[in-house]
Order: sequence, then C-alpha cells, then structure tokens
Amino acid sequence: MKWLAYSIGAAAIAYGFYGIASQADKTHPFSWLLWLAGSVAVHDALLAPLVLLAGAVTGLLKESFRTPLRAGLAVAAVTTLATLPTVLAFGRRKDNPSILPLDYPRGLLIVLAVIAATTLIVSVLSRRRARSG
Amino acid sequence: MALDLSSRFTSKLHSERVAAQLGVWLGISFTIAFVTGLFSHFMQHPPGWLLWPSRPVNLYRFTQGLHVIGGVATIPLLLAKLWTVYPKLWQWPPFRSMGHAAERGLVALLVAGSLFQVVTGVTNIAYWYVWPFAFTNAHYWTAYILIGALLIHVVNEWAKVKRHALPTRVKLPSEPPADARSRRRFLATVATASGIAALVTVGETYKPLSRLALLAPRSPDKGPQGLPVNRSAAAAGIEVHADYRLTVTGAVGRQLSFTYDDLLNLPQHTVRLPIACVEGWSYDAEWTGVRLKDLMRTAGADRDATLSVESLQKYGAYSVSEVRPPHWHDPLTLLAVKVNGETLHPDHGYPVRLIAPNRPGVMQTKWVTKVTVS
Repeated sequence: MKWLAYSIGAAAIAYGFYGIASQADKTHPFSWLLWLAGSVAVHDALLAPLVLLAGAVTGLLKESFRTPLRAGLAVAAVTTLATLPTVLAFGRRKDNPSILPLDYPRGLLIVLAVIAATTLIVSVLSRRRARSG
Repeated sequence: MALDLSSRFTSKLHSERVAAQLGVWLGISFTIAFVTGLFSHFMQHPPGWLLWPSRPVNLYRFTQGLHVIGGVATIPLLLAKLWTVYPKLWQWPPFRSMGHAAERGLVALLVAGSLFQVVTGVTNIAYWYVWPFAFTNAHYWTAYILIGALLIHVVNEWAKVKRHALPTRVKLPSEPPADARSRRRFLATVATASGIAALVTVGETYKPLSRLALLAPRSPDKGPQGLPVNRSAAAAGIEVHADYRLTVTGAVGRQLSFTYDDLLNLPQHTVRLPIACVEGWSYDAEWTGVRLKDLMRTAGADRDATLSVESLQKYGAYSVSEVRPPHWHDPLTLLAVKVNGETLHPDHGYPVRLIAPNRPGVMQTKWVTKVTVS
C-alpha cells in the first residue's frame, strides 16, 4: 500500500517535470525553476526571519497584550500578503477599466482597521479576564 | 550540539500536533484545488471522447470560484504550517541518512511547489505578469509535481496524522491546559485569516457579498454595461465592417449567411446565464439572441456534430471555441445580440457572442462571425 502510494506520487512528480520540459517554449524551464526555488528562498530567508523578529519584539510585552497583538499582526500581515498583487494593482490596463476597478489602498486600510479594532477589543477583554480570574 | 538551531525555537506551537492538524486542512485544500484545477483544464482542453454536460448551469462557476477563492484562503494555512515546522529547516545534522536526505528533498519540492502555486495564482488573478513563462502551462504542470510530493509526504507523515488529527486518534498523554488553549487560539487565528482572505474576495463571484469584496481583482457590477470583461474589443483588434456576416458552414445541408439585421429578425430567446471566468470571478446576466440549436436545425447539421465558433478577433489565444453536442443541443445556448436588454457593448462581443451554460468564460466566444460544423 505504502509503495503503491509512493509510486503514484513519484509518477505524478515525473509527469509534472516531463510536462514542464516538453512545453519548454511556454514554461521557460529555467525561469520556472528560478521562481520555484526563489519562492522558497524568499520565504525561508526573508519572510520567516521577519516573523521571528516580530515574535521576539512582541515577546517583550505582557502576556495579556502579547497574544492578541501577535494574532492581530499575523492576520493583518497574511491578509495583506494574500491580496498584495491586487492591492498593488500593477495589472491595470487602459483599454479595460473593469480589471482591478476598486480603490485597493482604501480597501486594505478598512480591512486592517477592522483587524486592529478587533485586536484591541480582544486584548482589553483578555486583560479584564486576567485581572478578574 | 551548538549547531542545532532547531532546539532554540521555544514556542510550543512548533509542535507535531499543530503541524498535523494544519496538515490535514492543507491536504484537503490542495486536493480541492487540484481537482477543480483539472476540471477547468479538461473543460478547456477535452480529449475527443469527453463530452462535458451543459448542466448544472453554474457548475463551472462554482468549481472555479472554489479553486480561486479557496486558493486565496489557503495562503494563511500554508504560511502557518511553514511557520510551525520552520525549526525543522535547521535540524542538525541536516541529513541523517540517504532516506532522510530523500525525504527532505521531497519536502523541499513540496514547499516550493506550494509557494509557487499560490504566488503565481494570486498574481495571475491580479493580471500582473511578472514572469516569462505562460501562467496556465506552468501552473498546470507544477500542480502534478505538488500533488505527487504531497501524496508521498502524507504517506510518510500518516502516523503523526493518526496520532493527532483524526477522530480515531490514539490516546495521548494529556496536553497541559495552557498548551491546549494556546494551540486552539493559534488554529483559530489561522482560520480567521483564511476566513478574512475569502470574505474580502468571494464577492467577485458571489454577488450578495460583493460589497465586502474590498480586495477582489474584479467587481461583478464594474465594467461596460455594468459587467466586467477580460478582453476588450480594442485589445482584440476588433473592426466590424458594414459587410459583416455571420456564416454557418462546413458539414451542413445548406450554408447560411446572415447580416446583423437578419439575426435580429430571427426568433429571439432570453436566458439568464453566468459568465464564469477562469480567474474565479463571475456574474449573471440576461442574454437575448438566437438559439444555436435552431440555427443548426435550419442548416441541417448532424445531431452529433461538433461546432467551431470563430471570432473576428485578431489577437489573443481564444479566438475560436469548440461547442460539442451537449452544449449546442441545450436550449439555453445562444448566439446573443443583447445583454440585459441592451445591444452588446463592443467589449461584450458586438455584434454577436456565444453564451452557453456550464462553460469557462474564455470559451464564450465574442465577436462571432463563423460557425463551422464538423
């Protein structure tokens, strides 16, 4: 059973690489590989250390502040990252105003404000609970 | 063991249990993305024997919305999972054996494939083409690599999943209450981030939530005639001349040729159908025009004929689309001349566009000038 799953997995991987290689005119294997490895490098060497740094800095705070703040920062950062290409809106085109039609900086500010407000409320509540409990 | 940095990570959230629980969610998300992605691919490139049904009308709209919005919502899961297991990156010695080296290589491939898919995916839906490769080809082939690496990873980690993340999990020494609380809080935070990412984008395909779609690349009521488009008439190089004709040709009993006014004088039908884009956005509209089925009957086309619908467009990859029997037999399939009661805007395909149920937007050919029967 295990070896069957290994074989299927290995076959899928091989098929994927074969596809990339066989459509080289469309997939540009060299730059594809660069993006593949590059995204890991950016995550492991830049994004993750930044998160560790944020963890260390917020670690200086009292627990009742620290936990909600970390959660709020994480949600804010991840939401921003997940929608960043839209927010930056470099894909806009003159001939087609229906592409990226909204005011994204405004949208992001609203989303971040809601996250910040929620974080604040939760941290006040958790402080109160910590005091009374 | 000064070299073993992995022991310097003190948070209890870098645990096997958190990794296993996030892993289950992530495994489900990736499987959904893979299946819906294949569905979209084979709808656009069906092998000869494959006849997709034309119903349910909103099937493709649903699966592609799930693919794209689900993909966006997967990003918090993926980042949380990578954070949880990050200390393992620094384990020492890096490779204990050949088997361990192979396993780590596979994990590297899995991580790379996952990041590649979400990065290219969210960048593509924002129409930001920062790489030289064709998105569809690269995203499609990488999906096989990712799903293969995921399958092997799941097999390797199955014991941990069983221990921590299945309802049937074996009895573990009970977790200190503070740890359990912090683990649950962490998972709830991840779920919140996923929920927000979905909530601020899903309105581009689900209209009741369109006011919340603050960070969606599309808005279902912004565009010419209040409807979004992917390729404008200008971008496609469209010129409609006075001698415009719609012709029906190929394996037919008799060839047909219509002027625009001829088409307006044929029996008109109005249907409510969605445009469902591969990029995940969609909208409903009322389309009015001639039933493709009626035209084929007039032309005397064979019942199992395949139609090729050709556009006036000079630029772009989607100037021709194939319509197989289940779709052209469907009474909802029209060559439309109006949308929501108005003559089609050039960007929506004036003079005539194809509109059919359960079909990707790129195959709803605009600026139609020729139907070839074969």
